[in-house]
Amino acid sequence: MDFKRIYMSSKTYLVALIIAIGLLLFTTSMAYRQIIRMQESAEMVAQTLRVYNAIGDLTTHYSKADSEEFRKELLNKGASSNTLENYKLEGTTVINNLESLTGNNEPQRAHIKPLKSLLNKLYGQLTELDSISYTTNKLPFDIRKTQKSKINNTLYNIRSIKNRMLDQEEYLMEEREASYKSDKSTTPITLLLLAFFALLVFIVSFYRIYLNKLKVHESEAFLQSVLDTTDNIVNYFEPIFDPDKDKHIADFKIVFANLCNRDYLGLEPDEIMGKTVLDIFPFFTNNGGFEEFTKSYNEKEKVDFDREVVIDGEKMWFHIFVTPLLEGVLFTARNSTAEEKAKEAQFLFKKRLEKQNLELLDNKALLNNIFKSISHIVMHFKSIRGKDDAIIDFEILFVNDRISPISGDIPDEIKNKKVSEIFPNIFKNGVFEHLVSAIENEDPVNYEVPYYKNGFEQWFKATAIKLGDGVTITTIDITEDKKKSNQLKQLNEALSIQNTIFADAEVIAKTGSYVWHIDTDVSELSDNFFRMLGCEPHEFEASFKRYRDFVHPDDLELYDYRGAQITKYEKVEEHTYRIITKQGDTKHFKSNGQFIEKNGETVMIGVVQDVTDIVEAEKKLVKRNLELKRSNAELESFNRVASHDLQEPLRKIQLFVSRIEDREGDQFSEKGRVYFDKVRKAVTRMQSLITNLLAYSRIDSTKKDFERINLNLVLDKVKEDLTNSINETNTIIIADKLPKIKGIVFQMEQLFTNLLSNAIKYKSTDAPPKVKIVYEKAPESELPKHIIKVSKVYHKISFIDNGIGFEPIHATKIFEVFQRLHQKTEYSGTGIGLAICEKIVENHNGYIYAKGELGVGAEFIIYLPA
Amino acid sequence: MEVKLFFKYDFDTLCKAFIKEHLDALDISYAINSINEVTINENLQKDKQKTLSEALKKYGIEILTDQKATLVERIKHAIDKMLKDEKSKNLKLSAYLSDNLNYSYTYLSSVFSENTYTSIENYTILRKVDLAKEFMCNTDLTLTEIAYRLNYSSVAHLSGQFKKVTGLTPSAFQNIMKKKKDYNLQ
Amino acid sequence: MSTTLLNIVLADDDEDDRMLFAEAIEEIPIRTKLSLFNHGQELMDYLTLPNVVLPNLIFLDLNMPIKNGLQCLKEIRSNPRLKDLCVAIYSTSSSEKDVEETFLNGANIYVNKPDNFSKLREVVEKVLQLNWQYHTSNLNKDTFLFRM
Repeated sequence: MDFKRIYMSSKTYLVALIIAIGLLLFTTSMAYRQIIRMQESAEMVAQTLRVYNAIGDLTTHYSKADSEEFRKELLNKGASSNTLENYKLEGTTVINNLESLTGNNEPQRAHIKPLKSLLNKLYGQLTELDSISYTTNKLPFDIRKTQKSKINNTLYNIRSIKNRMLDQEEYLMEEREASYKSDKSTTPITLLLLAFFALLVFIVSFYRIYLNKLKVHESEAFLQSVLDTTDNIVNYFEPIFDPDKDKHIADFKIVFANLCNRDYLGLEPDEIMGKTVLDIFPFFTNNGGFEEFTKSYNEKEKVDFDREVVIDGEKMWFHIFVTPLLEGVLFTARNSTAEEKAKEAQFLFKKRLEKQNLELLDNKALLNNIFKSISHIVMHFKSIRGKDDAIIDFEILFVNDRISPISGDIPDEIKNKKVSEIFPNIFKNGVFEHLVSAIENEDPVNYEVPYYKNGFEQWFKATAIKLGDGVTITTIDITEDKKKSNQLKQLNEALSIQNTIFADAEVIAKTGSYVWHIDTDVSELSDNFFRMLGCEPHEFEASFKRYRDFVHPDDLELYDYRGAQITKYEKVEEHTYRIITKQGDTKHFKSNGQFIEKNGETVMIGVVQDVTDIVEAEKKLVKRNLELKRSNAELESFNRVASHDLQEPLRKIQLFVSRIEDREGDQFSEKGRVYFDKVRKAVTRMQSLITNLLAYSRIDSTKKDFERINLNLVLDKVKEDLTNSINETNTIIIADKLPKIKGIVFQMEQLFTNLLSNAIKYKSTDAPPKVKIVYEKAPESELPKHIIKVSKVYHKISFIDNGIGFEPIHATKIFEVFQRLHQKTEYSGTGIGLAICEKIVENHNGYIYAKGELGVGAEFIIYLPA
Repeated sequence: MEVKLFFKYDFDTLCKAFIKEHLDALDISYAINSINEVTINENLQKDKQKTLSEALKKYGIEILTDQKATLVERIKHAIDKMLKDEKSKNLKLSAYLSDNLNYSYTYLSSVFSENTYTSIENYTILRKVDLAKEFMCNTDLTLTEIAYRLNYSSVAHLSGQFKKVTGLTPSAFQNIMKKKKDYNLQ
Repeated sequence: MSTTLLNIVLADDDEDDRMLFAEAIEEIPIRTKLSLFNHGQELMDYLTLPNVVLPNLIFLDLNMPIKNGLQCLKEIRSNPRLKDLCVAIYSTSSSEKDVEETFLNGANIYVNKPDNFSKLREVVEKVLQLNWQYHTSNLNKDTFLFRM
């Protein structure tokens, strides 16, 4: 990996180096070009300067023609032709010079041509001037003057051309100077920069390459140390081909061998390097190793195999890898002797474990049998610790079957669950603290704890012993023991209380107690027993015989009989007898007793109660009952008399009245008819009175055989019974849905009949009767205080009519027997109907009252227990 | 140990079967027209008629010789049929009877009153109440259903007539019949 | 029908009632033969005579010396020969207890002794008619139950 990176980076720098060289070449060529250009520029400037000089020569040349000396010279005869010839030559040289200098400059050349012609003209004029002077003296001055002006004119033209040439050259000069200037300034800077950059690249590349080299060195050292320190044998072999056969490997040459050869095989690497494999490792010939090397080399593939080698009588195991590498194979052998040995050891260990496991299972079964057979509950909890390492809960690791009958839990189901889930109570009843203390103090803890299930209390005694980071709890049910000890405790308490109150109780209950030692006939009587006999406590030595003296003479026979029964058969029966006190009063005693074993002796203990008052009261009660029976019988016979015997004659009267009316009616006198009518009415009225009285007396308040009644059906029946009067009076009855109650059907029918027929009977004269029956539930608080409530909720049924009503002050009076608010003749009432209603309602533990307003209507409100 | 068995009768079938048995025994050719009418297809000999009459008398069956008595029976039968038949129950009694018996209603009415101490109308009411009683005792029909079957306009109408005729309200009657059944079972 | 004679008996200890009953029967336009008995025992003795012609209808007072109406009723209903007889109770008592008890024991008709002669006549006539219908028509005797 590291090598690769380095390799990768050196390639990068190689590229950088090539670029740097390229840049350097580029820089050099650039520098050359720049210098060439500078030379050119300098050349151009020099050319321009030469042109200037040539132009200067020209100026000097033509200026000569203008000067006086020249002219004089010219005028100097003799010499004059010579002078002019020289002058002309000079001019030609100047022009030629100028022409060659401006060879490649088109505008200048254009100037040169006219210049040439102008100079030629000048020469001509000068020649003329010369000639004039020679021929004529007379007019020499004027002619000369004219000639001179002509020359001046030509000179002027030459001068102007020269000026133009100068201008042109100046312009060129300026241009070339600028070009030169720019070349002069940019070129060195560019060159410098490029050179610096190339240098930088060289430095950096060199530095990197140097670093790489260092790393390669390090890697090599690392590899060397790896090879030296590895516990694998690493050798490199190169094949030696059989010279006889083509491509057949006869042997391998050991090219490299690491230090491990020495450690495992006792071979010095330096010594074996250069030797052949078969010389050094002869064992590879016969264990197939050599074939593997050959195969790896020929087929260029990795081969690995295990071989056992015996070195100096010691068995060694190697795991060998053969990898083709370059022109040979890399041989790596890992010493796997330890692994193989470990494998063997592990196998042995496993076997031992299995054996141990079997033994453990046996032990476990034994333990389980123990847990099953013992009556203790055995549990083991592992601590569950919170952040601050304090125990916050337990995990149930083991519970034996004994838990099932107690808590209903099945051991396998609660195993590995948290105690807080299964037995949350232990956090409340202090058990958790016991368990924690057993673990933290490493000291067994004993505690007792109640367990509540289905309302039963069970007590358990437990021992908690620390085991590992947990606790083993052994618990046993001690409910029975606890109960017994509690009972004993309570008994003791009760006894002491009893003893203290017994004496008082005896007095209040008029009882005495005795202990009778039958064998010795010695009795112990309680203090109150003595008092009951009219004696001071312990006034006499008590015994059966002594006590017998108190017994009433008439009861002695029975007393003796009982005494005999007791001594003979140890049989006691409760019995009552009379005694006569010391003062001579007769008292009734009720006695009972039982035999108990006391100090190995049979004694009789018992209680005697003074029942004189009860006996007297009973006698009175019997008498009363007889009286009551008698009066009941009388009442019954009265009922019979009233219902039958009294009605019989009445009915006869009515019958015969009707008979007389039928037969003799038409023979009555006026008065007779009126009297007869009165008789008939009186009889009718008497009959209805008797009927109502009977109904009233028939409401037997002692009869309480209530049954479930649907009042709606009762109302239907009553309406059916009253159909005639309802239809006759066009009575409208509107009733709510009524409840079902417990009661006596015919009484309820009577009640409804009376109330409805009252409403119809006492109807107002101007409107047909309308009765509303309203039902609702009412709390007991609506009833007056003096009524004994038998229910929290009452059915409230109101009969509201639109009849004649009554004065509110009569509201209670109307319920009394024979209380009539109206004249007999007005309304045909007997005055018993509402009394019957009240009696029926009271008989049903209810309450009835009336509200009314004269001329508006009446309201009868019934409350019946719901 | 005693076992009580309870029976329900179909009088029509019962009576017809009974008559058939007796007529067959005497080898008489006949056709039964209705429960109380048989056509004899031959001249009935005196002695045969006497045997038959005596045999039937033991079971409270009388052979009517009186023309009017026969007519009364036919009227009663027609009323029965009308009351039991869904289709005819809405018809007017007088029209139904005269149509079925081919006599004027006035005639039928007078013959009936003459022979039974009661009118056709009263008899019909009694018969209806009797049917109502039977429905109450032998079926699970409600009073509303019974009232509808017997062509009463309402339960109240039925109850009213029932009370008027029997002196008992339907519920009181049912109550007594139920108690009577329980009482007899004891 | 006029040829058939309705055979009626009445057992009542009250002489006046017997007299008035007889007078009422007389006024009813149904051909009847009435036999009167002073108390229950007399009636039962008569009914159990070997060759007696059984009455079509028996009126029974409840309150009678020697043998009261209810006892007679029970005896009649438990006697195979008499059990199909039509029995009408004829009593002063209007107590529901009496009505129910007699119906339960097999009475067919319960008549309250009226306090008016014309009512008496009406009631007796109605009872006779009913009885007649029950004997001559296919009326269901199991439900033969009336209260007057």
